[in-house]
Amino acid sequence: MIQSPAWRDILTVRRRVLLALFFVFPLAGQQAIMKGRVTDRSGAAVADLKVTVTNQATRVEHEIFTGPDGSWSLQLAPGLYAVGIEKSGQGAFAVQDVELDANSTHTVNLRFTRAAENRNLRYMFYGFAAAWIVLAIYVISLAARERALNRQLDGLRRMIESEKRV
Amino acid sequence: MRQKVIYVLCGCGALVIARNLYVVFLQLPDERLQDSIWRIFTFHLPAAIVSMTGFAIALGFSGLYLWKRDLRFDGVAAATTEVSFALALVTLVTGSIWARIIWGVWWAWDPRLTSYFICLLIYSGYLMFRRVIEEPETRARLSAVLSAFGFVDIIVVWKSIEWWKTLHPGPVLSIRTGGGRIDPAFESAAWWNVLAIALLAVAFVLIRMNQEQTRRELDAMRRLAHVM
Repeated sequence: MIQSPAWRDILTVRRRVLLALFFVFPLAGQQAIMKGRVTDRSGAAVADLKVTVTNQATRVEHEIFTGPDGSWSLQLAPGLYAVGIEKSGQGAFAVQDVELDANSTHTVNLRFTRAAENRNLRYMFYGFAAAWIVLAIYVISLAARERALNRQLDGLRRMIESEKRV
Repeated sequence: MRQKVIYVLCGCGALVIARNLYVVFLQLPDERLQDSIWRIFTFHLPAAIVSMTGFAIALGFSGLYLWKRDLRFDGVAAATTEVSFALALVTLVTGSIWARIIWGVWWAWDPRLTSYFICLLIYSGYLMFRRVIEEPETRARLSAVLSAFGFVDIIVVWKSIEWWKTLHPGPVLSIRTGGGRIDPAFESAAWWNVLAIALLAVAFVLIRMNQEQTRRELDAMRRLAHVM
């Protein structure tokens, strides 16, 4: 059967639509879920915290706030993402690279650390380090003095013995 | 024999310290108001207790020297004072780091801190005098006097937080307050560290006593060499 040019155009359009549907439908289905929970150092949930998920390839950002139980959830396209958390006025931030596969659910649990907590931990380390450094210096000085005294004692003994022989 | 005792004391001290570090860092929670920085207290307070006890023991042996005129007592006093001085430095440094977070300053001329600083100056003078004076009897006599002088300041340090209620926290240990000022688990951690630091301090004192004995031998040999 010879098709008229009009029919040929319709078929071409239909073919294009089918072709488009063939590719678009599976892509639309390739969604994944990224979810997680944010807790502090004691394990308690941190609410009202902004979670920013950035697609590393497209640089498109998605933002969500944590709920009262510290949990959050986002539906995203597959790809490599960076996850950041911050709370206004408290200056905390944590990032993690996450590979999100198609039709999967990825859980990203994050620990929120306040800037003051970080400073406290640093100073606590300084305190313990300082205590051990003072004690280590004292032990080293004890050992050095021991060697010096023994050297002096040996020198004097030799001198007295040689004097006795003379 | 003394060497073996030193090794045993050091080993026991290291074991107790390892146990304490595990408890303090991995078992005990942060303090409600001070957060994690409270852990410095578990070293600061025990170092202070052991050092002040050491200065008291040194005073006792200095008194014994003045009474018996036996240089061995002076050796024990010198050894104890030196180890106590090192621990007093630990107390000062850890306290200063704690103060930077809690008070916002490294140092404040608070009665407790000022009297402790004077105490360190007196005992550093004691240790310097011992290095400068060659004659053993003069050295021992002067050291005993300085030890007594320094201990007056130790009493001021001890009582300062009761006499003047200023920046430094007041007494927290149950033996002074009757309890309720500190969580029992935190207090227990501090007492365990008192034990650990005391074990190490006794080992250091024994090492220093050996050195003082060697020094007395040296003095005797110098006199003999001089006569010859």
